[in-house]
Amino acid sequence: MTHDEALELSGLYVLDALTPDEREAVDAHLRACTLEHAEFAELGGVTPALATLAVPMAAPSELKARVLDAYRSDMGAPQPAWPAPAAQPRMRPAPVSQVPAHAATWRMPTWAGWATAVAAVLILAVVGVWAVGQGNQADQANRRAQQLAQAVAAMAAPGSQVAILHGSGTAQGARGFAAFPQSGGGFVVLTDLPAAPSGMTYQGWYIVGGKASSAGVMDVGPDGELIGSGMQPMAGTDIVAFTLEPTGGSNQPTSAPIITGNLATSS
Amino acid sequence: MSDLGHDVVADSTTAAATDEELLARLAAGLDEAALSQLYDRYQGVMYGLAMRITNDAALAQDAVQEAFTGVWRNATRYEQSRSSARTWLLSITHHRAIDIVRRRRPAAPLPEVDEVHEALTAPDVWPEVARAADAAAVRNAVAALPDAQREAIELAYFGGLTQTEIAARVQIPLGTVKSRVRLGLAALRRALEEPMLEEPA
Repeated sequence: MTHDEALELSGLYVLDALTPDEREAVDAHLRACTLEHAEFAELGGVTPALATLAVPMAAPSELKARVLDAYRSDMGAPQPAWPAPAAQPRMRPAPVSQVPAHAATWRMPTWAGWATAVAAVLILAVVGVWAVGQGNQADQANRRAQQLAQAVAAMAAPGSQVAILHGSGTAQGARGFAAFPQSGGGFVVLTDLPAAPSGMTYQGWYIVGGKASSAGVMDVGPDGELIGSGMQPMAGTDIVAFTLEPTGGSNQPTSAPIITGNLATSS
Repeated sequence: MSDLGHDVVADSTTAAATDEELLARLAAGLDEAALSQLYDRYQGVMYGLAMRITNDAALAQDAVQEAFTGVWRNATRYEQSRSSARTWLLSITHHRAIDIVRRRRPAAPLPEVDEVHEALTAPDVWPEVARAADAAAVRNAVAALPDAQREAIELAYFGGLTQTEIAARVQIPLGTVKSRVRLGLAALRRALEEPMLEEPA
């Protein structure tokens, strides 16, 4: 492409009106050519004004939750998502009265086997539903599947804190687990969860000595599955619980927990 | 942004964070509060732009969600773009919305590789207008364009048509499409710069 040919395309280039091949040809020219190309920036400066021709419209309120949920999923496990609490030594095991000291050793295989089966079902369901959609949705499904695999690995890792979660009341039938590996970046996985009523959202809690600290609000997927990642329990957490709270979440639970599980350290 | 002589650092804990600060926080790592604030500030203009392009609520929501994905994934690249946050967010939204529209017309998808259109995020040579742009002034300037130029620009920017598609739609040679868009944008730029230069007392 000659310099003049590239300049002829400046307007179309800044309006995104070229095919990938055409645009690549212009990009290649811009990288290689030492002549003046100020026109690209000059015309590109007009596009923000064109955008103002579109009348602003409030997006549906549920879109924000979707965006934030996608953010959490996208940022999830690969990085140390949440700063570890300062000077947190080792998380202590759950009280003996709830889980006998030896229990972790014999319960562990059961947990792992059960959760692996749940995860496998979830992966099939999630991928099965979403794979028929657009590439974007397939990406989401892949991320979900990756998260599930990481969640199962987190649960099976020695020294992880694990809670098996059971639903009651309106969440009767919900099952899942929370797993917090020593390396940080914990997960919660729930399945068969009914959609939150309108205006309500599920919110997780870490219960330490009877006091609740928020683990964040979480969205239920289309198949009744919920996957939270990048989670970090409070030091000394005995119980992981979920309540239904008004959209946006609460500082403290405003209703009785409908999903609970005791946290114990696996061996 | 120059880092010379900036010994006064904005205190983001007391004052409302600027858009640029929020993007810097996103670039630094997981910061849901920063994303939440950016969303609240820009969802209206982003969704409005996406609706104008896709003409479909579900597609427009997809475009906004994909745009935000582009924002957090490319936040580390934002500083290099030297444009205002608003310009950057809207250009990503535009790119995603156009991409969605083209996916439905399989002829000419946009490349997936580059979330951020280089030229659209090129130096913000015109920040006063870009930021303060009065929609009415822009509308007047666009209305003042020759019909043929306005049509070509609108088909490209809001219609998501490629130059070839515009040529076929309007039944004009490719070279005419190129020159109409180029002349139209240059005229718009001049028209929108004028009020800024005169600035009545």
